[in-house]
Amino acid sequence: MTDEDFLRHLDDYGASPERWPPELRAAADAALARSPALRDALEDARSFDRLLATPAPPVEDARVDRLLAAVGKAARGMPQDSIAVLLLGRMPRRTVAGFCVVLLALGWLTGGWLSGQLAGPAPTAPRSQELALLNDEVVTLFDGDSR
Amino acid sequence: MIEASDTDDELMARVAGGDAAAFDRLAARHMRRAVALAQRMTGNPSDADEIAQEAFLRVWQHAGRWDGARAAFTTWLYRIVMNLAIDRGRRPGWSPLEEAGDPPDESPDALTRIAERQTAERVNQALAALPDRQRAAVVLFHQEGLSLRQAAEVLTMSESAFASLLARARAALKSALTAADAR
Repeated sequence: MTDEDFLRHLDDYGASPERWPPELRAAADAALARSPALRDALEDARSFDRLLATPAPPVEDARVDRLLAAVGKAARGMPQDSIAVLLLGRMPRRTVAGFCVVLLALGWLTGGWLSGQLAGPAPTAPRSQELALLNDEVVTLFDGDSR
Repeated sequence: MIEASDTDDELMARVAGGDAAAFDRLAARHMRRAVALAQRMTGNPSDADEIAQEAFLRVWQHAGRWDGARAAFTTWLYRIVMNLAIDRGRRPGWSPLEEAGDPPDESPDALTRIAERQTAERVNQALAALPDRQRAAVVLFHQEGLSLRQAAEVLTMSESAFASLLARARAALKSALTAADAR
């Protein structure tokens, strides 16, 4: 790691090299060990990091107790996710989308099959009419007078 | 029977089965931190209270969706709090980092305290001016002390994407604070 690399990482990740990406840490330690200038830069960066690391806001016990009482009461009156929601919620979105497409396709196919089944007798009537017509024609054809 | 030593995972398994006592125990364990995180993000105690309550109700409601193999409970909770805080920040009328107004300080080191407070205010203003996700990156990494990997998981992004986000946030803060110093 060059000095420039170290300074860039110092800007990016802050003044705690032990919290940098793991692959950089050993090289950062080596760079620090060899360069007093980098150690000075690290010290400067620490003062900036200290500005950012403000202490957590105080949260008094009474406030926590009040919030716990409120959520405990509210939760007891609130239903949890149903099994269907849980099953779909655990699936990746693509799987859920695929599942929905399959359901739609099945619905379409089933609908088509059912409509075919229910409408089945209808075409037979014209067919029988056709046969009847044919029979009539046959009768007509073999009626000697009409020839 | 709930033991004080029950892990978050064990409690969550019970919560998913509708065990309200396990939920109480889990909430008691993590409420203070959830409120503090929400307050860091919004700067407003009443918003923080609402966010923390809403976050735990979502934990109760969606407990069955949590998968301990994919994320620690605290990562999941932090993610809920962060998302709620970011949504809250987008609402009109939101004012970050509200000042409580301390009483006048008569002690000998009052000047030092005033200077520290002014510095803290400048930092807070610079933080509040950051885009939501950059502010979240600073809060999680510098203020909550999460690792790069943990913070990336909370914000549901890759570690390298989080590192890049953090770098942008730090650069923006540095230039904002430098500009404020120059004035």
